[in-house]
Amino acid sequence: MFEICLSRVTWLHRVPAGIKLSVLAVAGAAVFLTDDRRVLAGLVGFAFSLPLLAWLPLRPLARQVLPAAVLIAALVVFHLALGDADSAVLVAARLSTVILLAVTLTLTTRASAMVEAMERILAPLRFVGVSPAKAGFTLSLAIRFIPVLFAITGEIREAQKVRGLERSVVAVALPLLVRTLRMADDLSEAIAARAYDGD
Amino acid sequence: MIELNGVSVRFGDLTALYPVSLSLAERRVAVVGSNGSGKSTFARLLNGLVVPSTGEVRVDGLSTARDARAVRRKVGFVFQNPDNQIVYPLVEEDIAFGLKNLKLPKAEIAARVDAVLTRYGMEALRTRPAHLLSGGQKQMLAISAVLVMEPDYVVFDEPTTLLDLRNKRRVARAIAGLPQTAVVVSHDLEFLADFERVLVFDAGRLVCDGPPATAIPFYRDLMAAEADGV
Amino acid sequence: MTVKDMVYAALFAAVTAALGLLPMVVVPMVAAPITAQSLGVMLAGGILGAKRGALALAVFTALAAAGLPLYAGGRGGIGLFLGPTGGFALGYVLGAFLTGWLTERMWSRLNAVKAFVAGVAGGIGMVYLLGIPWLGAVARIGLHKAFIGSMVFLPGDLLKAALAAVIVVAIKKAYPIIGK
Repeated sequence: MFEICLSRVTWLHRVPAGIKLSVLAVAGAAVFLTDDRRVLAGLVGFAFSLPLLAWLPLRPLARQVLPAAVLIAALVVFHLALGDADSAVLVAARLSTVILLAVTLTLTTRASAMVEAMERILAPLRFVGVSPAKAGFTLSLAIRFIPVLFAITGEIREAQKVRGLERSVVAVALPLLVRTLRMADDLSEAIAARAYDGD
Repeated sequence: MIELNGVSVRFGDLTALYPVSLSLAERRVAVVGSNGSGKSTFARLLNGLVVPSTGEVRVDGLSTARDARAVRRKVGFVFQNPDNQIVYPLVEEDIAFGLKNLKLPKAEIAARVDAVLTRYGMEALRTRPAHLLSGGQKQMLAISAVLVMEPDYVVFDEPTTLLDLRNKRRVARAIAGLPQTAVVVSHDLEFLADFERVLVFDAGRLVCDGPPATAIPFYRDLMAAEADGV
Repeated sequence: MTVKDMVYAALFAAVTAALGLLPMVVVPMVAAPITAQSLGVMLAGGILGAKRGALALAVFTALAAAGLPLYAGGRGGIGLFLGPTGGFALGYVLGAFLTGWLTERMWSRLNAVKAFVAGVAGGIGMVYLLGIPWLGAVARIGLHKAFIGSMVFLPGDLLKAALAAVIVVAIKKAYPIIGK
């Protein structure tokens, strides 16, 4: 499917999403709460070795990490320029740990497994009136329609190209939205026609 | 049997359908008319997607307004554009959607999904994402997803309009093979030739109701006259 | 939540993702091109209203966090929400709510100026309100410098608010949803 998760399965793919999310949450919290250099070094080491131990291919890893890496580098330079080496080290350690672990999680976990894990995490919201089944259904609907709307956007840009308007945001967004709203009416009817009575 | 008694439909101050009374007992009923003629509104009345402003629609005695839920289970509906009615990302999930709404046990859902995929030669597409299917495959998925619910009646709203010739034939064949009563809104006059009854709508009125031998020539003449009139 | 709420939220989450495909201008100081994506915040609020607009952005955010490459440039994943720019991502949801809430209040007399104000309040004010302190804290650069740094995006965001206002007013005429 259309997702960031790598299709080549590694041992990390087989670790349940809930466990990976918990590790990320604990490591992410620890790295921001501690100033202890030894603990920080341990966490950084863990974050850098995990993608290596899972033999993740470098190219997709770099693609996800690069924008954050540029920002982290800029922040390090900024702190060093002000002579604040402490902050430079802390920022570099904290952000690279969180980003690397998060990207590793994303590259090795199917979106459907993540959605299921989130549904379980959000289940207590049932008591404030949010239905997990409806939330899950809405997420599935969005997953179904993202590629459809990508295709429609492509079609509209193609059509506007003839008029030299394919870079005009309004000339593309306006027809896109009108088609989307019509589609929403049809889709609501189609869901009702198939005996959905979730409301 | 589907019965309409003095049914009209108004949307605000626009009359989409003037009063019509009829009963449908034939196995194959076609509905034709130009855009805006009221034929889509007529089709939507049959399973309660549109409720009448006056009069009543009854399906096997059930009112579409009062027993909406029961009527939707009896009358399946296939829309023109499959992209607006495929709800789930994967083929098998989408086919199972209606069955889950009927609260069927898991084993039965799986068995029915298998049966419909086999019947329409789509076993290989089972775990494919719906957005990667061809136009014809998408329409067959949309049709399967409705038929798997085993409705007693199926309404098709222009099921072949967006398809190429080969896929039009495939869909026409699938409709011809249905054991159920089918009501088909269409512009494809060729494919309606062996239907039992044809209803012609024009400007919100039912203007002709008869076998294809009389209704289709009537419709052709009507379209020709309107084209000349403009 | 009705079927319509769910359908509108899902489709506008998808629209927000699709807007990431539209390049706008490349700002010289910022490496990444600025895309039309954050228009999604102002459009979802301005067209769908507070509740459905916020829901749409929550769906978009949840799916991006789950690992779909929905952000411009094919990025996504939970890292976007834990890093220095996480506050902006959360600001999207509340921003759509605020824009929608203001739009609903002004609905009967809505014009491009009012729609612009609603877009700026939600899509810029609320987003920056959450994003800037987060950036300041996580990057250890302090509120003041985080604020100055974020100002690079202000001209682009104001332009988007203007475009969103034009679109929201046009959609109100062509296909009104709020108040229907």
